[in-house]
Amino acid sequence: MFGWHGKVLRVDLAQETTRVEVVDPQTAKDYIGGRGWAIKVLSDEVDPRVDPLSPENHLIFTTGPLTGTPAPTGNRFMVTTKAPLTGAIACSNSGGMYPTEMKRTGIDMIVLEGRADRPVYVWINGSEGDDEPQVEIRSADHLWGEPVPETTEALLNETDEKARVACIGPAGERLVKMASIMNDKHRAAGRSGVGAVMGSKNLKAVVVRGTKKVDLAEPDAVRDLSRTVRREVAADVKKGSSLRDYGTAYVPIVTNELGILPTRNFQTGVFEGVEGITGVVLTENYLVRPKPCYGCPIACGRKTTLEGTPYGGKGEGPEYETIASLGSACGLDDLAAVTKANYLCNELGLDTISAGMTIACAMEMAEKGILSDEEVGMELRFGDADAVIQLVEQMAYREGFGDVLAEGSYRMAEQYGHPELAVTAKKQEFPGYDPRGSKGMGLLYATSNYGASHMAGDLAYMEVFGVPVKLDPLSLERKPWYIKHFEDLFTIIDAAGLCVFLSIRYLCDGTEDVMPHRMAELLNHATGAGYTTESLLEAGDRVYTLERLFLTRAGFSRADDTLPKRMLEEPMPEGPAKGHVVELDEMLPEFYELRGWDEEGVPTREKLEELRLA
Amino acid sequence: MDDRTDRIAITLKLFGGFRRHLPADSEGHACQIEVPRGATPGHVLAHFDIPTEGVVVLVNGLTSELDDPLEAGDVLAAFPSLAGG
Repeated sequence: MFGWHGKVLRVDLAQETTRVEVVDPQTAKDYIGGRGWAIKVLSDEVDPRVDPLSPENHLIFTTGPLTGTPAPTGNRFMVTTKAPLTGAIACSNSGGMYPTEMKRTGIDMIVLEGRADRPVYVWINGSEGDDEPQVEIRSADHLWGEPVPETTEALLNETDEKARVACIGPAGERLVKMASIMNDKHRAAGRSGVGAVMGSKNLKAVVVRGTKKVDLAEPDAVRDLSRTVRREVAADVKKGSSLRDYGTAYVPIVTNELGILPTRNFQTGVFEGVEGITGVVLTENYLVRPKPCYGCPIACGRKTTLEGTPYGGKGEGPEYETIASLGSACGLDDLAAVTKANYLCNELGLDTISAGMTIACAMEMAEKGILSDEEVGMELRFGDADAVIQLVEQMAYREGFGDVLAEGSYRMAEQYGHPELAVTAKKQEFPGYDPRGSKGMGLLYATSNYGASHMAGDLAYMEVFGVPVKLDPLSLERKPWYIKHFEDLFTIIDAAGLCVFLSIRYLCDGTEDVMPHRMAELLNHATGAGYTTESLLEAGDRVYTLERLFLTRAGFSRADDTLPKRMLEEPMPEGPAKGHVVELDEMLPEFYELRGWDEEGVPTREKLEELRLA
Repeated sequence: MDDRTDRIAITLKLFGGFRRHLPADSEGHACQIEVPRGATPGHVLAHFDIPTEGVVVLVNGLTSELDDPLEAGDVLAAFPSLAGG
């Protein structure tokens, strides 16, 4: 096969056995790779009603056909599992160097099954020139309890210094509902509690080393198209690249201008302290250098330092989402404190979005008298930097009130009788765009297969950033069509192993309809699979619909495709979105119809037959 | 006619890669400027040497066009539509 190796590594953690399976070429094409292959396996083999933290759940790492190729930003992998935070699907995406190294072991996908009876790690070595990698399941007794940087260093010492490590920290070991899996120390497959699933399997790390190049159907064509795209990116960067200069930290000032920057647990979308948490502050005070993922011409990653501040330390980040959650949502205008909290999340293995938004929810509950200072163990008020930093650590270790926070904002708020104060969809905390001022995002959060997620179909590209054209974020016009289309597009991008930052702008056609012509071209050059733009979109639809079917079988229904009362009934109090709520009921029926789902949100028999899923 | 009546005061905010076009004495991302009455966002961007292709323009936080006339007290914000680079 080309693009794909066509190989899946199965690791049975209970039996401590491994085997390599070959993938059928038609299945490879129909499900593209990455997230697509993963949902096919999950759907075929895991009961959708299973407890996510039981041995019956699978934890699946997948690359795509463009991962590890010369395709610009072909450097991503996905972690797919049934999620402990939501009970729905987790598809957490990460970049860095690990995904390329994983692809170079000669396998595309790793399916981790069962539960080890002691802490272990998996060492996959594809650098010996054999057809298949050597795989060992080794004891991780000596690493259990260690934070991410120490774990990573120790594993590089005992395997191969050129290897790459994906591991959990103390949060994953303690089954914290928003625990992440960290790769290359600082990159996170962050959302939905994938790290807790890894912890539940007694699996501390998956270490990879590989030297196998990916065979391409038309290597010259892949190279030429990649060069063209790189030239286009370079021309834009020369004009003034926000991402290169400031990272995604350039975004808070933009979303604040639109009045959709989550502030004090979404009580408003305008933050008076925004100038303290912008990319300019980051670049001028804490940036060491931009840090690209493998083969990326953009370099939005930030290598930063807090040496010389009261906090100290060094690491990577923060990104926009982290600034919105640990910063403005907590009423915090001190970027050094946000960065410190970010470092702790990375070191201990926590999703910054859910961690920050859960603390923000607790702050509102404390200010409203629902949580007492005694229960929390401190006086908890918006804007308190020390409290944010302290609670991140407590959450990761489930110490004191951190044990309550570790369950996420929905379960916490429900426990105290106020679930309406949790700004979540399907129990997952919102990302950094208040949907009252970005209506398409509201429909996305409500219906996404992952719970509230921007990465499931990020229409902020058009509603906020004008890529490829600007949509009015306050209008409902065509939003159901766009969300359906973006969900399918993002599925293709994830499945192909690409990063969204480049794909929407450079691999789609730049028109209002955002058709993935170039993505089909690139995938064909790599795989020789003969996609058309239409068949590629159909594959995206197939994967998305199969994910939805998994949710349906897990017991989710239309009642779960909703948003908190704050979004549906409490108008935005100020700013450009003043007076707005999310008119979800006006968008949902049309969206279901476009997706081929019935009035209850269940995929119809006709739709399943059309997609060959029946 | 008094010159002053022909001019209106607005706030200009430039974000992301455009910030470098702000006057040196600007605070944060914003500066106060006076523009001729009837000026549009397109006129203002041209004055600051900002290309008008691939630009997102907001007036008072709302989606706006390059040729919508500005009014006194408006807040004009602009940034490159380059989420990918």
